Amino acid sequence: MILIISRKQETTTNEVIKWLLALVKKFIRVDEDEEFEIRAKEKRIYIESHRNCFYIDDISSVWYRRGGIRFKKIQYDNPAVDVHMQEHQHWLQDYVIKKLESKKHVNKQSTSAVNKLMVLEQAKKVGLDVPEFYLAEDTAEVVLDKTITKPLTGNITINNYQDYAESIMYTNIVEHKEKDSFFITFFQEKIEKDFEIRSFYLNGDFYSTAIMSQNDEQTKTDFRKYNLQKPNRNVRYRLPAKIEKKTHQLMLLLDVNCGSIDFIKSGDKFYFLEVNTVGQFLGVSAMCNYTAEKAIAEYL
Amino acid sequence: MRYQIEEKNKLPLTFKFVDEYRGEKINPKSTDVIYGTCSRYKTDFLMLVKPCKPISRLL
Repeated sequence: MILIISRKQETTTNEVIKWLLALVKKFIRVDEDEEFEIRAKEKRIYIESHRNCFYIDDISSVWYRRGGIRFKKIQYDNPAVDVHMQEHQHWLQDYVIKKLESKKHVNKQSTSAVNKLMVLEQAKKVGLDVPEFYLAEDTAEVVLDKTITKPLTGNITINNYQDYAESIMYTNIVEHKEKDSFFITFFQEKIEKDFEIRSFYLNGDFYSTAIMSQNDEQTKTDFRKYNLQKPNRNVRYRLPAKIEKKTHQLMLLLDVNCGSIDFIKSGDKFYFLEVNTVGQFLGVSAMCNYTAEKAIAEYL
Repeated sequence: MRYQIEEKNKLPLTFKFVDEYRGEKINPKSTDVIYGTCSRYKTDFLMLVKPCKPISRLL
């Protein structure tokens, strides 16, 4: 039995499930609204929510997509008992999560959220080219027009701010000095690109797409500023073996076995930008006919 | 379109570059993309895309 940990509003999960059904593989889908209780029966552990109930040892593989398994927390009236029981529950939950993560998996709940700054440092360590980056509270040291800024967060959108349903923080070039200081911000050297590469990575395999975003003013700095009238050309691409090898090493270091990885090609160099463990890959998968969602279903 | 965000505490410079992505809330009456419940996929958010005309004609 395959366990899928995801969210309700998650299209990628549905696409993988279509393949699981086609491959006649049984699965359980857990969404964010479920709260599990850990139970034991005949010396076997099982977890139960309002929608799902399964034995931990019945699970053969796990796909952590988004969200996470949440557990019901039972409170006790006596403070001393409560302290003890909180720890008791903690270790039980920890055991369940670790048992699930020890199975064949595509990503793990405990390591899926990666720190962009640490990832860049690790990427440098494995020998990948990384554009120079730093954190600053003002623009005193920022080289104008040759520096970009982008969020440190995984989620770059802001929902329901004022009258806007969804706002987004794209990568932008810093063109002006700021008079005032600001909250600590990420800056990175701007690289003149030949094109961008987005690689879907799964257990050492790379499914790369070259995105020709450099000739369009709108997509030049960030291809996600999609030009819907004249979309960027996307073609299958093969990264050099040494870049794939170093990136694979990086993914092993991060303990992440699936994700979308961004590169910039500039001359002979391939600059590593970031890893997105929960990123969208259906678009490039469809455009390049990679069927990455099938690869996940087959692996599970 | 960029807009000003006013906050009492300082914000990162990235907030200066916040752009409107979807200006309007999704129109629930839109028939191009609708979401449905599907027990087979165990979701209530299955995207059902209305095929564009040339494709339906091909079929």
